[in-house]
Amino acid sequence: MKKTFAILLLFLSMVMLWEDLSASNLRRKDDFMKPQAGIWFGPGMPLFELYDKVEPALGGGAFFRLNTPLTYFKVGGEVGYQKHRSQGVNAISLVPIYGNLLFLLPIKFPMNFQFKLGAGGVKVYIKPEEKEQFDPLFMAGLEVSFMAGRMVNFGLRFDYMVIYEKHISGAKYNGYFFNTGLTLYFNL
Amino acid sequence: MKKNKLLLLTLILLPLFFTSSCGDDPLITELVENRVKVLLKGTFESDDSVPAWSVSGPSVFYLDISEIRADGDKFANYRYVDSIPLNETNGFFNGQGLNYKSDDLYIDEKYDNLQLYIRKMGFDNVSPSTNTFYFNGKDVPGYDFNLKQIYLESGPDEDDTNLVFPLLAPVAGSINYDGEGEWVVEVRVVIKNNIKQYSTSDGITFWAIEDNINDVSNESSVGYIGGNLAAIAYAYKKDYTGTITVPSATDYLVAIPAEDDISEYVSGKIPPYITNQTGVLKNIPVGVPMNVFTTSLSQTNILKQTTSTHYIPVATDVILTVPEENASY
Repeated sequence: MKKTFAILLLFLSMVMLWEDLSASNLRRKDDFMKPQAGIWFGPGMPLFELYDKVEPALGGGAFFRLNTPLTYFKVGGEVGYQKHRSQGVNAISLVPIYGNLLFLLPIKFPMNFQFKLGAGGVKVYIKPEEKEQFDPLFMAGLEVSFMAGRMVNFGLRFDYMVIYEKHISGAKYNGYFFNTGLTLYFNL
Repeated sequence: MKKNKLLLLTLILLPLFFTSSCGDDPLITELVENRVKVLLKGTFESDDSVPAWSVSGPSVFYLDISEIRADGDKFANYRYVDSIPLNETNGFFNGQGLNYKSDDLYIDEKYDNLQLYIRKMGFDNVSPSTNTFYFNGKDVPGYDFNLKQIYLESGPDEDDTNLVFPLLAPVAGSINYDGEGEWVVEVRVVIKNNIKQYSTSDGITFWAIEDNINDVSNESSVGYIGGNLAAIAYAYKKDYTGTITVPSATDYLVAIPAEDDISEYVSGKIPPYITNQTGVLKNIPVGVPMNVFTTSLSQTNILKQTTSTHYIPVATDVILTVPEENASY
């Protein structure tokens, strides 16, 4: 009985805390609706066929975001870099440059959830062939962030990238990567 | 608001701009798939004209290779562990070759040597028969002689020159990989019909590969058994090869790249192309001048020769011009 009471009390205090945060959330959301710019870094993982050929590696990048006339949508631009080596001669370097559309989940919560869809290009360089070229890139992602003060956002991002090569004659595979990253960006 | 719309439009058009300037080389496929295949053989002959095992004694050869490099490039950084029966059922001893997993080489790089990092080599049929060694996760009956293959050409060396980690396999004619088509790199270490029994000072009698330079019969006082193995490698582009036929050849028929001097092929260095009795040399690369020889010596004697006078020239500067061409002499 004591335990149930304690849990109930905890639950009530959480609801109160929630309400409190939600109240300040309105102001915070206004700050979040400013143009933003930031950086990220974190592990990138090659998937499927590439997983056997190269190893996961740290990647990173920079991005900016602008508001659109639609309240919960932003547009962004990103540039990044990641290089995956292997125990042998194989290696692949990527420089993705793409634009994306972001959708902010319209819920009252201290954290911001944003879904991303993007397209652009990626500079691919492979070893040991020592060839490089530009390929089409598509991405989808999720970003969870919270505001620390009025200017700073910290967050986690999960990006799934597709290097689209199957349109090329003789190509059997696309390149798939999953990037996870810590991100820091500012409301400007 | 107008400024925003303009930006929005730019961002939507940006991907299209990038897409339009894309290349047409399937790079991901290039990276995933291999053009270079490595074939590993334990035979003296370069093709399947290999005679059967004539040594009685051991029945299994234990082989553990950690990787193969080409002039230091880790193009085959994959381990190979296998117990190979001493008969004609396995590609290692029947001339067909074993597939060794590999990646590709650097394009337009000239490779002159392969390095085989051999971790373990051993035969069964050891005396005392209770002697075992740890191989592929378990104890197997036999003797791992790999650690004893530390010997120099001229005699015992204080520096303990290790001859098998790596074992140097010179590439006849070097690998001139061009990144096109499918390539085969063949590596041969003469093991078949090239083994003998040694004894250690501890009273263990075991089978090992014969030293192809020095006549070593027992383990030396410091624990060496020689270890001068005969190894050679060569490369060719698949479906871009032909044959050289010498119908009159009754013994060994041999071909080497014309850029090499036959006098290099002494003291355990074997020619890249050797066939026994069939008179047909296969997989001769198109466009590479070859010198052709015959020799009447046996495998054992060829390996032991310190001069190349036993090689009798048949033809020089033989060049195949189209795939599947046959040059006859």
